[in-house]
Amino acid sequence: MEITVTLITGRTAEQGVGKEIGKLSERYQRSVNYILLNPGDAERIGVGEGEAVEVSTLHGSTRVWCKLSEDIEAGMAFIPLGPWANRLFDPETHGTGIPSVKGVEAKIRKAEGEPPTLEELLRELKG
Amino acid sequence: MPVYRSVVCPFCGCLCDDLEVTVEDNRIVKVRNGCAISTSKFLHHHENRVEKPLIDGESATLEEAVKEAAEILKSARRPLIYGLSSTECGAIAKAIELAELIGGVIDNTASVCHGPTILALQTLGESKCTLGTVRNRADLIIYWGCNPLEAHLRHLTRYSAMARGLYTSGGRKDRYVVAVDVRETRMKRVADLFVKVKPGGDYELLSALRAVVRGYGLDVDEVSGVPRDVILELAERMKKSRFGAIFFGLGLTQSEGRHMNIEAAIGLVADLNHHTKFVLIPMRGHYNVAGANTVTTWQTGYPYAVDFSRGYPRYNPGEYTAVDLLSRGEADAALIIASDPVAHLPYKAARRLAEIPTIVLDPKRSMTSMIGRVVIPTAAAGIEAEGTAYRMDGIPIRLKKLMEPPEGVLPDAEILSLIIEEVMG
Repeated sequence: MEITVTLITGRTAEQGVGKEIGKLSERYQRSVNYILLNPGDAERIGVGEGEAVEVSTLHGSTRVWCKLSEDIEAGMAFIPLGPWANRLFDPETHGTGIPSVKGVEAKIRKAEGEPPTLEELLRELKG
Repeated sequence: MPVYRSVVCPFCGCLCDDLEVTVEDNRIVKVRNGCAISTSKFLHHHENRVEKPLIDGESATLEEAVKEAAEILKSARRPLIYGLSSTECGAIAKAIELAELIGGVIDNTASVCHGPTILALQTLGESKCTLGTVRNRADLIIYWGCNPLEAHLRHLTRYSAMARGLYTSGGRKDRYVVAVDVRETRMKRVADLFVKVKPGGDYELLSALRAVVRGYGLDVDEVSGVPRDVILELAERMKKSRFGAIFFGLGLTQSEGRHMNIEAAIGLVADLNHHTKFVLIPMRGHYNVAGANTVTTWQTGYPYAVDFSRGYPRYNPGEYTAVDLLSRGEADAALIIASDPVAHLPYKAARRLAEIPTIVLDPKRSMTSMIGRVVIPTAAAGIEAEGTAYRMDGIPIRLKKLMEPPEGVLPDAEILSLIIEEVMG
């Protein structure tokens, strides 16, 4: 089962606090390695709070932990900007210098396996 | 133990300047008046530091690291200098000097946040004021596509919705507060009116408001998911306010429409100024991203995306901006100052930084420092080094030095001066 959502990115206060402890700190990683889903949407794909989901767009995919909130309406999802989210976005800026990172269509399903760790992301990046 | 008063917080574009910081044995032990993020910054600034200069992950002396950095930059055909939003203006000036010297491209993080705002302002101009004026006068405050409760934590209490000012002594009850966003954030609880707009629908909503303010009717039931009645009422409220302010964020700049959204917002504010006083202020994120634009403009004539490859500055967002230059595979070396693009740029651009020789100047370890060929630790501006930063409304504020940096660690500007000397030979 898979759902299609409109993905919104942004910053959070918790991310700011974690970032200032350190980008490699556990608290920072926890603050950006998740996606916020509406509980109804999560139920449709059979995932609960704290389980892993696979998020994919036309431009890439990532695995992150699932958080549930009634504050996010069905059909939308929020993911904090960071090293997990940046795999989802098109670098095309249409001549403006800025990529589209808000209002992007994404598909979400239950993931096989856990999200990658920061070290794994780094290893992959270095190729 | 020394208590520093009127300390400026070097985190976000609010640059709150009323902090009290207690230093004991060259360690910050207490922060008063800071928000959660600010307190975290001061209390944890000594953690996760880059401890010594590194070349290919191996310890090096500062001299060796500077020499290697200079070699990389001299031998590159298309070097990119990027970051600069979380350091002080003196370092930004030095980075521009270096970019000119090596015939490189210099860009700052505005290109991925309020770059579209600048594009729109260059086209249409702006109606603005200081945050102090908003605090003292605004009786209508609109937050559009921004969430200060997550990103500018003291904005509401120091400068806007809750602040008490000269003609707004009642604080929150003297103001009408509106929040416009694509999702119901905590701002809904702060606002008198929360307007939920469809993702990508800001331009249409702003245009509809303009039409109504100009006296045209609306012959549709809703625009971008917002009912007609809400639009009519909001337009009327805007016209009748004594002093209105729109604060806007990346909800407008990073979504469909980009600079066109901002042009629509500027147009709305211009129209409203036929009825009352209205201003528009971008919620700048990093504490000195406004300074990066300001200093780059003094020195090159342009605010970001500046190319020196022909020996004189040329400006072209979309071509000389970091995301484009990296994802096209054009940059063949990079110098990243006080920024973590590997964690935040789209993957293709981030990956390019891992492929090419990248030099990283940062007080702390980050994804970018972990992929850097040369990494040089720096003193944290506003804590271990003084300097100037520009607030989101364009006001320059002097940052304080509260304590000594770790031994042998220099401020960004001094390291950049050493690299410049080495490049010049």
